[in-house]
Amino acid sequence: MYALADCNNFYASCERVFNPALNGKPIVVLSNNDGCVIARSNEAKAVGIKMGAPAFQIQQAMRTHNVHVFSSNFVLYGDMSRRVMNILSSYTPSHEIYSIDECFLDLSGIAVDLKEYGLKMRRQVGRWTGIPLSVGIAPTKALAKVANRIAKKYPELNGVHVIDTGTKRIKALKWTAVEDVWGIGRRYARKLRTMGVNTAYDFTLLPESVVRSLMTVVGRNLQKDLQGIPSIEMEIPEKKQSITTTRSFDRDYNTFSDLHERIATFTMLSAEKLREQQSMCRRMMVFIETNRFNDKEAFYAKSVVLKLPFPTSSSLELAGFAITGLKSIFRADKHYKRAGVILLDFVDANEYQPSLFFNSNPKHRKLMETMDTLNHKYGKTLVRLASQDELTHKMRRRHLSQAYTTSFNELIEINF
Amino acid sequence: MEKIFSTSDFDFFSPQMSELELPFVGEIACGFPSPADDFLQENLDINKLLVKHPDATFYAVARGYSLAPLVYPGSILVIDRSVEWSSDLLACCYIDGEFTTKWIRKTDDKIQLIPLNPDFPTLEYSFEEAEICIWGIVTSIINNNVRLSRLQ
Repeated sequence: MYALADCNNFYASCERVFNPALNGKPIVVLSNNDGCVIARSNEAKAVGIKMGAPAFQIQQAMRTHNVHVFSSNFVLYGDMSRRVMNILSSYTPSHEIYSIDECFLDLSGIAVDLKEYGLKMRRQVGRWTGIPLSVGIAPTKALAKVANRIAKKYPELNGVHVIDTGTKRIKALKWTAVEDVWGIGRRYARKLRTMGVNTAYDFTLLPESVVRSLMTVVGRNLQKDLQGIPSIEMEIPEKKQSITTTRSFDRDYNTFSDLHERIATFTMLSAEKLREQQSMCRRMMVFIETNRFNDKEAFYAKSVVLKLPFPTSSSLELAGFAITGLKSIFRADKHYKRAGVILLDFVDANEYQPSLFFNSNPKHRKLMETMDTLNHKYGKTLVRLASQDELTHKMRRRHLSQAYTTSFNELIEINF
Repeated sequence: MEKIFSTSDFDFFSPQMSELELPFVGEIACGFPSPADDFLQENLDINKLLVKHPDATFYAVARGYSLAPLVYPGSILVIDRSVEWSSDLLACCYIDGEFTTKWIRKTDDKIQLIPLNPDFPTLEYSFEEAEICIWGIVTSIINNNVRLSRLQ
């Protein structure tokens, strides 16, 4: 059996943990630069605020309904996500973080009352972190996703639904509209509707050959999964967990621009390997060292770990972060002999849902693909970065909440 | 975690702080080295003392002088949300739109929240109401800058 644990309205819920007065009130979270709505509480959904609506267009609606507006605070959301995932991982020997707020748990061999197990998970996450969770449990991942939807929809289930009989499976699939099935995009859904397939159940009844020719083997696996035959496996990580590029220099480097060039190049090399294994990274380390054997100058070695605000594999974005990190450790009066960049804390690029992270520029993906293709064809460094300066522009975040959990300067305050 | 760098976009943290280990020297001996020092092998990680459940632990900073010497402005409260409430514990509560702290006293059917400052009234809640206003249990208080003059 698999469980899909999914945090309810995750970003809005994170804001509420530190601002409990907002329980039951409409909340929206805006994308970078306060551009458009990327998350809504149920109350905000109820007053008709649409996902992706540009902030300026719905200002009137926000005022009339007294909607509380937040800029996206990814430091906070990332930290809260890490806590939730850690807690969930204690419920299974094998779990797969599917997105910032969703996690699959492999429950095979766990011989307990699964409804009770799901409730326990939900209670612990709620108590420990303040984040409300929904849990769907079923024989396959696609069905767990369906069960999760049902758990969210019907409050009397207390946030947990288990599909453990054929009858329950059929009932759940008949309840699920075909466009709401995980992995069936809008395009396929429209096509399926014209074929008279309106629900997930109808989809499971289609002949195998029809599904194969329409949606390839991926669609067939999904169909089998929905029929209760596990076909979408848990991802077992076998890929590299970190990628390191480091070099000693041919001479002592002592200007920032020297190191700037080196660090940018190391980042490029690492990022290319990262994309090759289809990962994105959430942290990177930058380090610089002077010559250990220079007796005229005290040895200086400094490193910094950057926690990135969103996972990325874009050379442009990573180089921008790396240079920011370099700035924080660079000291002008030194002669540097060695430097390096380490990428770590990976997520699978295919399983990461880009819509949740508006910061990582989706255009970069295409750009990077093109760059990699050109460089493979014509030599390593045909296409390079000129400068990362444009990445350090100031962002507009007028409604940013505090980094409540990650900065001693921004903790919640207690008044006596 | 030490915040080392901050731009409008990101905060950067150095991980070194989370691995701070202090060699435990037992009693502080003055004069000559203690023979027991030869058996030193344990290091103390202050984080392990203060944080029992990292995923449930949050920090808050105190404002105001009314609770000195227990709490000063700037004192850091370590709040563990996983701890079961019981009498005698200090709760971090959210009441009337503000975070505050109260001592817990549990009776058969009520939760009493007793202010640290005796000039304020004790509040009484049902368990369900308390569930809403108790945010977590304060397990430790870190007072920086310990000075005699602050007691006066």
